[in-house]
Amino acid sequence: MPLSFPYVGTFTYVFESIARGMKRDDIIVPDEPTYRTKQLGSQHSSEFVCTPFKMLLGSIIEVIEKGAYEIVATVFVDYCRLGYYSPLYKIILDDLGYDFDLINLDWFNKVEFFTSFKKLACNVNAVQAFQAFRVGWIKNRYIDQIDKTLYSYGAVEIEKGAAYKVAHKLYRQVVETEGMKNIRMLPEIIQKTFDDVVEIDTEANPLKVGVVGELYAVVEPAINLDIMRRLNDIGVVTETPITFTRWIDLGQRMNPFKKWHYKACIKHAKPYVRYPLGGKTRESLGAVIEYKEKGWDGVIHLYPFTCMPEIISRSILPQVSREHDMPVLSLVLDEHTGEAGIQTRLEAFVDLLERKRNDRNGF
Amino acid sequence: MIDSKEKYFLGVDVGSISTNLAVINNSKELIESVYIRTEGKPVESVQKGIKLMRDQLGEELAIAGAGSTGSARKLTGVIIGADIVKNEITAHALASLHYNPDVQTVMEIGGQDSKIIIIRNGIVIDFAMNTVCAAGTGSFLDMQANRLEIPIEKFGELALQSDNAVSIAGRCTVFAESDMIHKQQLGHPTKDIIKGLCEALGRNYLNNVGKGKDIRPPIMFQGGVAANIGMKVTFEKYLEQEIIVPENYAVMGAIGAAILAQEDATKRPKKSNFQSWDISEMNFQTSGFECDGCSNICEIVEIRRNDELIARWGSRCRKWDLID
Repeated sequence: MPLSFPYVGTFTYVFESIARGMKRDDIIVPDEPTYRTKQLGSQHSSEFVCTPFKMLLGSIIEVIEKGAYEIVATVFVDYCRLGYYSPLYKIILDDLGYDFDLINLDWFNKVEFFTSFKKLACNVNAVQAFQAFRVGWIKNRYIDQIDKTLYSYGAVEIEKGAAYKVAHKLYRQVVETEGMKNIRMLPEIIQKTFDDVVEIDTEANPLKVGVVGELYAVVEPAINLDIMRRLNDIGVVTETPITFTRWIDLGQRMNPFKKWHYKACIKHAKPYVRYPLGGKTRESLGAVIEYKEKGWDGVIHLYPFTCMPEIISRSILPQVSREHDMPVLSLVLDEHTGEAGIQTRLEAFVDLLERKRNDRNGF
Repeated sequence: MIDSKEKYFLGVDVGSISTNLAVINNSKELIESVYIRTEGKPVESVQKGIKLMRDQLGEELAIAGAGSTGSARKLTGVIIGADIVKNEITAHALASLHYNPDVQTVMEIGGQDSKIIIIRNGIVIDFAMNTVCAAGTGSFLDMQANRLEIPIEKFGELALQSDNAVSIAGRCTVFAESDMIHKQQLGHPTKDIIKGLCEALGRNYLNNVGKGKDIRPPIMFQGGVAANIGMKVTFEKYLEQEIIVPENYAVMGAIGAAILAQEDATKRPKKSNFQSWDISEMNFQTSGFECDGCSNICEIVEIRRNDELIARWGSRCRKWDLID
């Protein structure tokens, strides 16, 4: 039965790798979300549901139209409406009359999780399935590495767009590399390819801005209007600590010495919020302090319209920003977000950071 | 007034409602300004503005640098040949700082967006723009003035004549309008309704755009809506502070763009890209098409000057981009 999954930023590549590792040769790879995806999703969801819900629904409908039958969905563990996504998708898609099977990977419901997982891994035995998963989380590290390198090289590249071209080739290479020995070579290859192909301005002293906020809003260029690239285009190095590593990378999770960025952030946020409020509330707040300590220039906070947890962070952020003298720009995104407004705010924010830095250096 | 040894800089601010031009000299003093309506035709209004400016200053005046700002800054930049294209927040902040170096808060309400800029020690430290809604901006006031058949210039004066403001729901323009109609039909006099409207919009601005911002004096109020004295009085009432409306409140964005061009030219001296004063005689054509390369269906815009393609943009994947 053709297998597919909704598109979620560069994590799509990781998922494709896992499915391939499970010897599923009937994978339908989702396309990047477009205007049509947004329209499809919004049309069939409640108006005030969060934007990621609409986008993912749109993406699922698109893969079903492409012929997929088994759809993998998951329940996020962030204690917010995301937790009800899969059951709702099932109801909506059933009502629309689509013929499909939703494979729900819900970690909280262990029985269901393993039954679903078995369906997904129907072609392999348990050991092979685990191995495929392991390869997935290892490849995820390298996808993250490409993202990270891209967002810093993209800001200082001499020929505009060079880093993006390289990154797209490398993503495919990571997906297609097989055999643990070859996979282990990837980090070196990635670094070397970037160094060889992308000519960078070594004199530049770019501004550095961290991007935090709601998971989907941060990782999916289609909803954040490619904010990373926009920042790169105006010469700003950027990175995001929000990746899928913390969930799927069991290898790192089992390592007791691993220093997790999000855990440090949560600690920083303690004076403001002492307990989990869902989503990435604490992490978004703490990241401002974490980036300040790292010597970065500013933080951009992204959240989808009607995202409940991030609305809480948004109202506390001005205080954190003031108390730690760290500029923060909060941007609310929805399926209608106008490009002009975002661009104006980004440019103004970068001007602000630049003038602040020059002032500090006594220019 | 015109000195042939002096350097002159042009700033153009094209917004949703108005197109403003300003020419400053090397010491950032305003020489001349033009304020006209955009009327949905940015290219024509830039041409018209340039023509008016040329008529006032004479063709001999050489421009040493040009800057563009406002929501149509990219397009304007291509048409006039701007040396610097900047966002309106930076432009407004610079113009305000030049007017009053001690300013700590700038409130700007334009045609379709409103902003607040927080400045400390001459540096922008925070800003906000209206997010999902244009309630309380110039175009709404304009529309209501039209509906009530009061010239927009008289709006403020009329509001001042009232000492009994009617309460109006200002959170959303659609509700505000139905509320206003309702109040009219109850028999409230127009001046009371106008005063109520000014207060509602002022409250809306402070509760939305100004939310969580540390508003400290001196406070400057600029943008087209600053012409409305009723709004100034409202802000004075709610903030309990004196509000300064600079004399060139309507063209502050253009002044800021000119200052940016001046600073840029001082830092990196080079020949200006500024076209010439003949822009108004040139033939600019903008055309668009939908790219069918993928389901994003991007709308691509092409700009031609005298049949020569000078710019093209609009594609997400950037395959059509052409900006020199």
